[in-house]
This record gives sequence, structure tokens and C-alpha cells, in this order.
Amino acid sequence: MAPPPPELIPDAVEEILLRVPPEEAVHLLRASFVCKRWRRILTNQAFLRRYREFHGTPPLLGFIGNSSLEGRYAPCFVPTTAVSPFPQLSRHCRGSWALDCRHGRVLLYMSAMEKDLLVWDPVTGDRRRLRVPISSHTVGFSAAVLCAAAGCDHLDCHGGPFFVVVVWNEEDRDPTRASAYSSETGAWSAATSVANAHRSRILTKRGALVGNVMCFTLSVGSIVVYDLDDHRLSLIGWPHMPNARCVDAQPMTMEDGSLGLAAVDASRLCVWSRNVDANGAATWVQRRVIGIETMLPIGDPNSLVDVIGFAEGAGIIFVKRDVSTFTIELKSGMVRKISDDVKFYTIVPFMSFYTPDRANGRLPLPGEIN
Amino acid sequence: MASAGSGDEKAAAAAMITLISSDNEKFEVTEATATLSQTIRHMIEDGCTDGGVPLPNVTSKILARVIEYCKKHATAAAGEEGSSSSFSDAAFLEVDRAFLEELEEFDDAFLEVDRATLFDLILAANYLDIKGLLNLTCQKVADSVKGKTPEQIREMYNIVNDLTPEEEAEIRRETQWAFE
Repeated sequence: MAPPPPELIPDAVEEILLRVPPEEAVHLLRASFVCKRWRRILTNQAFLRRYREFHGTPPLLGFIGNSSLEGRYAPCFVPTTAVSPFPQLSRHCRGSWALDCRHGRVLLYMSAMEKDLLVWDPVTGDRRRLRVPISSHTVGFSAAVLCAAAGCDHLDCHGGPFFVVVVWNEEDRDPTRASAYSSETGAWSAATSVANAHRSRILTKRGALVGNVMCFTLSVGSIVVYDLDDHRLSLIGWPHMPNARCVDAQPMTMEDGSLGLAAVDASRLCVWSRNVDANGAATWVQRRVIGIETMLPIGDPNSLVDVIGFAEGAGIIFVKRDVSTFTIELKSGMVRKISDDVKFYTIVPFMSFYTPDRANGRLPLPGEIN
Repeated sequence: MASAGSGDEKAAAAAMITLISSDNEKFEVTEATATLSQTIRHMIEDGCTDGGVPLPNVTSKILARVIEYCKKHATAAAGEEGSSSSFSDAAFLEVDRAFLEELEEFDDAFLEVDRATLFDLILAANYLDIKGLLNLTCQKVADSVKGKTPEQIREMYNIVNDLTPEEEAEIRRETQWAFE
């Protein structure tokens, strides 16, 4: 029999553990149960910082799908990993809607009556409830949550300060307004606005963060841009897609950091990016065209295909056809069915590192507050 | 000077480095091959390589494998540089892809070793600071940890479980989901 392998020196153990892929959090966690030395390394903050930097983009651990059950909105957490540390959203979350998830935090719209938002960190269990400064007659509404820490690399934003940006239309003809909440001051900014030329309204779809602006879609072919630096709103037009339905489009952050837009135009999934040249002139460039009929041959051929979400960094968009949900990897064009029994209206991806130092105790559910 | 290189090869020997393993075996390699190791690169820069570079932590068996790796990767790097000037873009890309594929095949075959050798290669790559080799060998071990229970990992790598029963019970209690 071969002699047992020699013991690994601590430096080598670190180099090995550094390379355990982050997509399945349980792999690193189980490694932390091997012995004291491995446990020490895997809960050491300097090592974990290096681990996150080594892997770069936080992995997709799952998504929150907005669906309905017995006539009420019912978001549910769907893990994309084999073993998930995150529990199902509780019954108390019924009636709520997941608006966004970014920099490790989920933003839930809790109650239509009270216009309450909940900022929830599934990894730490932190929760903060906010009252939104908009009236209950609002016809269009969306919001985003983002890390507010200066100079942050957004690999581990847990517990830090955050912003919430809300954009809305009081009525169809009203201007589009925006206001931002800062967790540090605990206050909403005065609303800013931009004229609404097309009687359109903000769609309750997840926005895209592009540099230092948040982009949301309007129901009539344009995108509303909120500048986080100077607190201003502006509008940009869509690329030319004569047969696309605006409600099915999804703004997104492209790999190169530019603004992207994915929409279905005459049975083709089109992905555009907005390129800005040295003189500041912007043009839409078609990046990908994917024939949907051949790729998603499931369900009623007349059923519409909607783009319902995207996972920046991972290069994945989520599309829906009937009750089936698919992911499409933009680089490879690979299609994967991820659900076929729940109709999701929109999808909010949850991307975060989940390192062994975080895995202590059962994670609380957002519905358990009050 | 020791047996490395005869007199009439003096010119060629100028760019050659002698590496000496822990069991005193000498290996002659080109500077391009040797400098894949940052440790040796620094020694060359400091002019500390006359009379050979003793590597007391690396056996001849492992050093031979390390040199095999460095030779292949140094050649590939040189090939890429050379080809960029003499091929059209399309041809260059073709050559580039062929190089990468060949290199990948080489790396896969290179990793077909027993665990003890793999560990020794990791230690050597770490000591000699050869980024590509360290990445390759550590990734192989990291991938083998995926999907294993703590017991299986301990068994695979001959690790003694020094956690107390109390610590183990607490870990299991706190992270039950990881064991389901």
C-alpha cells in the first residue's frame, strides 16, 4: 500500500482553499470542519478578503422569483446551488414583491397599503424597514438598493451603509420622480423629476446600475436614468426594435460596464449595449441575437417570451415562457430550464459570497420581523 | 565550476542556469525556463546564480517535473511572441488556439500523478514562486475537495481531526443545512 501523503504546509493549505469555487457555499463550509487549522484559515478575515478578491464576482446563489399564490403576491427564494443555506421565504412575506438585490441586500416591497420597503441581508439577517415617500395612488414604481460605502469593491458589503433609490409616476401624465434614501442619515432626499412626454409609467422591473447611474424602464420605449452623484433624472431612447413589447424588456449592466437592454423582437431575443464614444455621443449597438423558437421549444408556440431578469457579472438573463423559466448564458448561448411549475413575473438574482464565517446559526426570515 | 557545460559551449552557457536539487543532482536549464520561477528570477537579478542554484527543499524527482513544466510553458510563451509578428491576424489566432489547446493537454497530463507527488509539486511551486504551476496544482486539490464530507477530506489528505467532540457538536448544530 502506498504511504500516506505528506502533511501539507500551512502556506499550501491556504493556496488550495483559496481555489475552492464559491458557487457552492457548502464546499468551503465543509472544508472548515476538517480540522482546527483549516477552520482557522477559513474564518480568518484576511484570508477571506483574499478569497473574495481571487474570485472577483460574487457567485449567483439563487434568485427570488415574484409569483402569486391564491390571489396574493408571493415571492419565493429558489436556490441555484445543490445545498442552500437560505430558507424559503416565510408565509409572512405573502403580499410582498422583490424589487431588487444588489451588493448582498434584497429590497422587498412589503405592503401596497403602507408603501413599506424592507432591506434584507439574507447572509447576516439584518433587516431595515423604510416608509416610502410616495402616495398610494402611484401608477408606476420601481426601486433599487445599493451599497453606499465610499471606495467599496462590493465583494462583501454586509453591514455597511446603503442607499435606496425610488422612481415613480403619480399618474400617467405626471413627471417621473425620484428620491433616494441614505441609511446613514435615515432620511429621503427631496424628489427630483423629469417630464413624461409619452404618458408612460415606470415598470416594476429590476433596474441596472451603470457606473454611477441607476437605469429603469418606462412603459413607452425609453429608459429613465437617475444620477446618484448629482441627484438628477434624464431620459434615453430605446434602440430600434419595431416589434418589441416594452414591458418585456430588461435593462442590464453589460460585462464591459455599459448599459444593456434585452428584449424580444419578433421571436428573436436581442441584446443591445449603449456605447458612448470619446465625444460623449451614444449609440445602441446590437450585441447578440438569439432565435427563441429553436432555443425554447416548450409550451404553446403562440405564448410570448418575456425577459424577466438578469444577473450582472454572471452574464445570465432570465426569460419566461408560460410557466417555465430559463436562464440564458450570454457568452455561450447555453439555455437551462430552472423552473417549470411556477409562473414568475420578474426575477431578482441573489449574488453574494457565503463564507464559513457567515454560517453561524439559522438565518432569520424577513417575515419574522415586527 | 562543477560539471555543468564544457568550455566550448561557453557562449550558450551564458544564458544557462544550473539548478541543484536536495539530493545534489544538477539540472541545466535556459534562463527563459528558470525565470518562470520568481525566486530564481530574483536570484539572477541579484547575480547570485554563479556556481549553480541550490534548492535544498526540492528533490531531483520533483525538480525534473518542475523543469518539464517550465520548459513547456516557457516555449509556449516564446512561441506566442514570435508568431505575433509573422502571421496574419487569422493565422495568429489559429496558432494561438492550437498553442493553448496543446498547453491544456500538457497540463492535464502533467497532473496525472499520485497525491504525494502532487503535494511535493505544490510545495516546490510555492517555494520557487511559479504562479502557473501553483495555480494548476492547487486547483487540482481544491477541485477534489468539492462535494466531499469533512471525513472524506481527512481520509484523502491524511489529516487528523483535532476538533473536540464539543466543537464538532456545536458546528453541526449551527450549520445543520450543510449536513443534510
